[in-house]
Amino acid sequence: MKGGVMSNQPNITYRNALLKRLSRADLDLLEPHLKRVDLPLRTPLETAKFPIEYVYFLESGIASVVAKIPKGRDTEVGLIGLEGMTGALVVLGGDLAAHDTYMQIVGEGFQVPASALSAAMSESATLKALLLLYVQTLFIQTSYTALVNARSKLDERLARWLLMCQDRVRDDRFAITHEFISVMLGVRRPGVTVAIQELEGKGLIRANRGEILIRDRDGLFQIADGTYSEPEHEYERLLGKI
Amino acid sequence: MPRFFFHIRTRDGQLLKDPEGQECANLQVVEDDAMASAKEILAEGLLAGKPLLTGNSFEIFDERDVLVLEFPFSRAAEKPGARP
Repeated sequence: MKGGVMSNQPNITYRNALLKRLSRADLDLLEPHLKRVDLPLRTPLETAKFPIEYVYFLESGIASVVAKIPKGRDTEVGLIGLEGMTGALVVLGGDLAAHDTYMQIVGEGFQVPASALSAAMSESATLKALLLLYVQTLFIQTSYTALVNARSKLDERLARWLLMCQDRVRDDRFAITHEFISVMLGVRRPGVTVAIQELEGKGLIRANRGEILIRDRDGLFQIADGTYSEPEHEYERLLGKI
Repeated sequence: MPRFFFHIRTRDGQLLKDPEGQECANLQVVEDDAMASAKEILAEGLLAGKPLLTGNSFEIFDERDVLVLEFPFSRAAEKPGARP
């Protein structure tokens, strides 16, 4: 009885939302393979067309899944923080990365060999079910990113994405380069200067030396004009609060 | 590669600073980038319901803070050039 109660308690040693939600039995499968790693800016986590060697459960920072057209500009198609993990294709049974994934906000996380994760998933239906729920939320996020990239204006996209960053960094303030923002918005870097100035002029953010301070989350929500919150609601429904 | 800072001078005289800059092989690359970026900013403005902001210009500085190029957005509105 006592053991049962213990295993239902949220695991407090992890910040990562997925690891936190795993049962003790599932953690026992994974923990021998988890290695804590620092993830500096631009650390490559996956490389397009190459085998995915490791999957990362982030504890802090933000990783970005970035698609590119040959000779074209890079565009972000997925944003991953402590609410999730890289290696969605491994969870689905794949082995090659479709896109590059790398750190856009410095952080740390747990690295696990893709083969060890696959083995653990075939042993535990509950582990597999939880990770599939997360992949579902990432799929929804990506589909909304496709929608906004096609239909939303620059300031709306920037507002949505700043809200998504704030959810994951859990701070009003984070270090972010204009170069990263340009990848995420799918525009050239000088366009970022204009978009930031626009939100700054409305008093919603302050930008200073590579740092963004969120001053008015509700205001950003208004600017995002319905492009933020659907994927977040789905995440909450499937896995709980981000 | 040398780094260049693409500040924007608005038509009312305000300077929007580019705190980061970007690397460009030479001044031709800087100018092509200014052309493509100005076209993109003008296009985004139009899509957002704004008038064509041709009164703005890039003031592009090198790492020693020397002005290397002034690029009026009107040039991007009137002339063909690098695509965004």
